Amino acid sequence: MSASSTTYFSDSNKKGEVSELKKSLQSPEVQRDASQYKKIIQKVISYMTLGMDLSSLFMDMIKAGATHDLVQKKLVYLYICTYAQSNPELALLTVNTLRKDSQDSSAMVRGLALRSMCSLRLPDLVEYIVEPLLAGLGDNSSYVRRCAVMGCVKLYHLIPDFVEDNGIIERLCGLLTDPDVQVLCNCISALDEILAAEGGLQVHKKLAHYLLKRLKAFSGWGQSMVIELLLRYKPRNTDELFDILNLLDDRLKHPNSAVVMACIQLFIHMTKDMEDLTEHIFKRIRGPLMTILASSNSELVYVCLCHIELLLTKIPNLFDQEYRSFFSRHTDPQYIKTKKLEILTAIASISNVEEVVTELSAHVHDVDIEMSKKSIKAIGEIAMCLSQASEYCIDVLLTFLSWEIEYITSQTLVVIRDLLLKYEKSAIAVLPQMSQCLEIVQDPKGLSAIIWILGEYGQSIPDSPYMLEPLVNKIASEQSAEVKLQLLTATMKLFFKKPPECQDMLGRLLKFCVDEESHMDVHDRALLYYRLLKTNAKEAERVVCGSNSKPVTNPSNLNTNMPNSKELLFKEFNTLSIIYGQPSVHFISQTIPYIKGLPYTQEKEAGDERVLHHQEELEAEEPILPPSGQHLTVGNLLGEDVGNEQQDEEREEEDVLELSDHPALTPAQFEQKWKSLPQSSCWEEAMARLPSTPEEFQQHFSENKVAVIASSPPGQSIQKYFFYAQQASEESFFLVEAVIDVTTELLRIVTKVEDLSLVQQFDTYLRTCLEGEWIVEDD
Amino acid sequence: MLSHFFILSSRGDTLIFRDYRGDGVKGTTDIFYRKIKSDKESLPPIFNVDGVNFIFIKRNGLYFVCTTKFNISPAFAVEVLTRVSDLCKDYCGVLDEQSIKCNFPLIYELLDEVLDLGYVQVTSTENLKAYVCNRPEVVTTSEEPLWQCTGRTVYGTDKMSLPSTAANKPVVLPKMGTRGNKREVFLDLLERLTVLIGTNGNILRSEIDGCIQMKNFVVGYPEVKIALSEDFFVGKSDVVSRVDSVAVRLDNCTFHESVDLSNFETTRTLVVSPPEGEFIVMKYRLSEAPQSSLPFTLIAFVDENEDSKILEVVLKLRCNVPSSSCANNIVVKLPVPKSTDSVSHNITSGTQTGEFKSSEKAWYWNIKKLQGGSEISASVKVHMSEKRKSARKEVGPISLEFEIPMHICSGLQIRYVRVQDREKTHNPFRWVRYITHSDSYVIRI
Repeated sequence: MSASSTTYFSDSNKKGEVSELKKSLQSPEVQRDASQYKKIIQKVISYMTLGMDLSSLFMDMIKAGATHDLVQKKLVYLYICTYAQSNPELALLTVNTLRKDSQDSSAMVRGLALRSMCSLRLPDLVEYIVEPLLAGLGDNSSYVRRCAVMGCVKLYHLIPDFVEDNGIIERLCGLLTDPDVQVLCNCISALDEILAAEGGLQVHKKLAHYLLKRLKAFSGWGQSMVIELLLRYKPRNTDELFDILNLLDDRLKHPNSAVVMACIQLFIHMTKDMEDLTEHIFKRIRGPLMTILASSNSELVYVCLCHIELLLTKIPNLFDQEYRSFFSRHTDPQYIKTKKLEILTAIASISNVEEVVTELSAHVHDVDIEMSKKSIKAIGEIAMCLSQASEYCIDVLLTFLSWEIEYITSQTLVVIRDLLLKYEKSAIAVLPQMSQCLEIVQDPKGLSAIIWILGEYGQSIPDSPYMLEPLVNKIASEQSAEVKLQLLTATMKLFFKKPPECQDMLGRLLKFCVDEESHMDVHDRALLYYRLLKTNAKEAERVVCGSNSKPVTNPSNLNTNMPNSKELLFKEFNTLSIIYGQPSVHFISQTIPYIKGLPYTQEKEAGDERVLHHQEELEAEEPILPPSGQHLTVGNLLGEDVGNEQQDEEREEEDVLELSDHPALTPAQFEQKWKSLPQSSCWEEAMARLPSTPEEFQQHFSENKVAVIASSPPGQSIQKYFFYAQQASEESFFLVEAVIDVTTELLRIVTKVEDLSLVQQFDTYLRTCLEGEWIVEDD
Repeated sequence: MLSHFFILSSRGDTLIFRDYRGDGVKGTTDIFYRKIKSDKESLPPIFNVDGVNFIFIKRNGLYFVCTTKFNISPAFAVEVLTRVSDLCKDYCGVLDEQSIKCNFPLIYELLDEVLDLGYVQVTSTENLKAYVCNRPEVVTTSEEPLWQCTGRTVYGTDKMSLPSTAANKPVVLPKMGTRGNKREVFLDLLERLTVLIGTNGNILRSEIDGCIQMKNFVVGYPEVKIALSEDFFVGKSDVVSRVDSVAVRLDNCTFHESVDLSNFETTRTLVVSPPEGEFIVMKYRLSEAPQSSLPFTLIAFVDENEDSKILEVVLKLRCNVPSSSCANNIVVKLPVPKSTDSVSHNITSGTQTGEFKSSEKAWYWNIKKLQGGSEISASVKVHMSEKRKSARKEVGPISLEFEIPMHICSGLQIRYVRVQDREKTHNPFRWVRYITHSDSYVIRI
């Protein structure tokens, strides 16, 4: 537990506390005094909250549960549910009390008993629970029914067969027409989890219309759930689609933003193939988003901002009119200020650029240095994207230089350097400021930027060699390799422009870097220049001053919108993916057989994952039972899919190497295995062609039962992929690292294999997979 | 599908912890608190550590956190957390560490009913009452309320004033409650101002976010009629030509589910059947508030002496609200250059103080009270350790914090409140309060 818990009691007397409690609980005196007894039990719960292990009190707490005081009962049940798993034998003793309570005259006691009973998380006890649970599903009180429905899911996670053996699915489907909407909501959640292996609850026309009709009776939470469920429903025709949209339109005004966001998600999803409608829909959802944005709930505002950021990638001018709403308030938390800054950068357009840039400049003297730097970068990005406004932006940036504050000047120079690559003409305004900046800037990044500018435009600055010279003289004391590299290049460039003034300086610099420099890059570059000059000065000039010598600005500065990943994100609108800015495959490692809110188009893919899940869970929880049947009793769209899987199995060869259809390995396990295993093989091949997208390459592998676990972001010259496969019916894994060098078109494969007898076969298998498609066939 | 829910104090103590699904990892509270400590201010309210998603809100120094392993709707999670924190407030009276600690059995009871297996069940204060057996322990705050709210005598309101903390009591009253089992309805008309004034005095932004908040202590859904100003209009200004005869204009408004709007168009009356506890009856927004409605004008002169290391700033603050009202607890924050050593000031007198906070490099001007229509000034000398060209640039922007009781900038008014009890003849008490306060009131100089 955290050190902070010592505010309640110190570590040394923890043991003492527990035995003290035990003594009190057993004392007949305390037991006679109801209020004191209750106080002791409260104490137990408060220590439990702190994370103390109180499992040794289990017996005494069970005794305390035999009371008519409801408050005490609830606390005791809370305790029992928390510690049942560490006392499985003793937990059996509570079942009797719980079963008795489940027949109590008070609905509240019945519900509480059912809920607690199902939360014990002990598979051995399920046989005692089934009967009261089934009775609970038909209870008069809606409260008890609610608890019973959720109880079904809890037991399903313990023993999946329980569902089939007791016809739970039929019972739950029957309860979909329950008069109590919360029972209905719970039924939907329950069915969705239980049927997850088949893609969750299937929404056919009847169900969809039924839910829509009752929608307004639901609580906000229920409404958002139903609307998310409707993502899976495919309207028969456009008339029906419009009816649904019209019906849901007023939900956009709901005070609960969960409903509003779910509704927006549904609107986007349902109209995604109707391009003429897109703009209209986006305009419709703008108002509701602005309402959420005006909320005083910062966390909600943040969620809203993240979604707006995504929408802007599709329709950049959607919020052109509202740009002022993205100006920061000084009371905004840091995370909101940062997000607003990013959005302002994205929505800057010709019509509002001056105001946006003025706003951003106001943040340049923010107390927070990071914020200040980000604002400068943002102005740079705007200039980069809006060439018409570039002059204005650069003028604004230049005013920052006159403030003579080191970090501002430094960051501004870095931004200006990048801008000069695109807007060379602006150099005229920039160059006169350099000598002054040189006096202020010490930061390596800023210094490198000045040096680069001096090298590049040295011919237009009369004093340029004399500005570089002090730096060259100080080279021995310079710490940053970045500065030294830049200095080498700049001096070289300047040398070709103003040879008489630079020759001596360049000589000294090269000599120092070749003879005394310990940083390899700097040393090597100096040596390269030296040899170039020695061999052929003309050629050296061409190499150093050629038009290609301009550093390529980081593409992420310009445009991060990889259309592909954004499309993926749009599919996951209104989920955590939007907040993290990456599709769920990258961060959801949970594989309980339920993935929420998947639109029907994704079912196939998701289905696989769920099956995998299913297996994993069975293994993890060890209820030594075969995987339950595929619940084919319930009609579902995935019927054909299941069939395919079976065919796959039949096709499997009788080879020793037999890869599992659904290898299961978490990223953490992969990393651990990768580190611990020796390399079993390594080979290189010329590629027949380069994959146009990483997905294309990955898909090829996954079709061959080799799953991808990680890959480098697209667009890099060296692309790395990590794959893995699993020997069927065994815990033996094959790990693969594939590296594509885009420039040389070489594919390098490194494998690490747990079962060494299969190395050869696996390698051959990989080669066969790759041949024809990616690599040139071996003769 | 929430796995864990917990409440942590600002020091990281676990006040409440509940595991709903048994699928979470151990020690989520520690993981969370470590992350909070390492990232401080910039930590977004939603983050992922090793496949576990954390969503948290911070209220009154307490962290309300939930974790999940599913890709759930973030808005949903934030709304659930907000609702839980509101419930804690409804049931404990006030929301702070002490009240949570004293009432933890009650909060566990609530949590038991609010979520089951991580799915939301019952969340309305009203309906939960049936399931909650614990009585709240009222934590009495020894602190005197900062200002005494004078409830305006709107037609039908009974008394002149109540302390501002009067509404800070749990909906379920303790047996030995100090205020007894009073049947009361509290109404607050609150407005938050977001104003940004440019260097040239132009209004760059002036937004009003307002709401009518109700805290109801009358059981059985009484019928509450709230009559608003008759002459107000909802819609964008370009829809109607800017006629000044429309006294109050709002961009848009949304209403709570319990509001019946059938009389709204004709008589501007809201008929509410309020659940118990606190909730927002109506929320509205005005994105371009007219200049005349802004409560303050602040003029700053900065005198920069070429050679000396001293900057002189003169501030003139005028309160534009009617002279019958006054603004309270005004704090004017003037950021000064980073090289500032000390600040000397000359302020008129009385209830004002000036203070230089070296750590923040800002000078604060605290004004306890400023009557409507009056003007005060301060002259400030900033002494710097070195002379920089940028010094002038580093002064400002000035930000203002304030509260103005009994004044509403948009001009919206509550004409009367009537409470029709459904069962008894007893007439419940009703209280109305108006408050305008600053959200972000910034003047660039």
